[in-house]
Amino acid sequence: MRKNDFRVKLPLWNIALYTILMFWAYSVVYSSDMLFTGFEGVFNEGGEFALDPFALLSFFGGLVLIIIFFFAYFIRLNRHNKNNPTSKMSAFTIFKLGEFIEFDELFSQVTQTATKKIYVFYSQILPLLVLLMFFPFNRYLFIMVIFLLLIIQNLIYYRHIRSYITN
Amino acid sequence: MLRNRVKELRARHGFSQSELANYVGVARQTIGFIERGEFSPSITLSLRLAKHLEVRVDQLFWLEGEDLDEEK
Repeated sequence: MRKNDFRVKLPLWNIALYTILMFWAYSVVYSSDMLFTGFEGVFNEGGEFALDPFALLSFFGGLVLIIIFFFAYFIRLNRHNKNNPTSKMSAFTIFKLGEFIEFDELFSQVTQTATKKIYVFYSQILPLLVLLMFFPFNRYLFIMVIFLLLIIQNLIYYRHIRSYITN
Repeated sequence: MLRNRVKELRARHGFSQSELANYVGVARQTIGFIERGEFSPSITLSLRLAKHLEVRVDQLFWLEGEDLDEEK
């Protein structure tokens, strides 16, 4: 097991995707706000187009970044599957995530302890998130916080697995 | 704590960690963790290691505080 193995690096790819989605979510929230308020704010009082320029940048920039991300992701995934025919990964999995390294009994145990850490993390942080939700913040903030938790989750997982790979 | 002679016997056979790992079907890191006593292998893996290092399991692993008797 090498530290550059795609399965080891997968949490970093997840972090990259969540960061892009955080940026893109701004335009999605903005668009849905407009949709549910009868496109209020699309035109200003003078009848001119008045879209939030950051929302436009977020939408188109985010879309480009998502396309680039998946392009790079599939290239890396194909390379991994070509070099590791006995441990192929699929692009989208629900129950057996690609970052679960169960190559042998040590790494099965390491994966278990890493997921235990994540369990503890969510047990502690989700009640705090509920507290935050009592306040009337914009829902984009909650979306950001959820993405942030996903990023932290992947960081915890990556750091734990990496400590065994590099040891 | 589980003590072992994996490193010593591996060196005696002239195996690298990677070679021994390939023989028994684990990652190189797993051999390193076993050698340092930081990971206790399963009975199956212990048997495989013992087979490749040409000793009995009780000559390869023993509990700290108990004497290793190679003549068992």
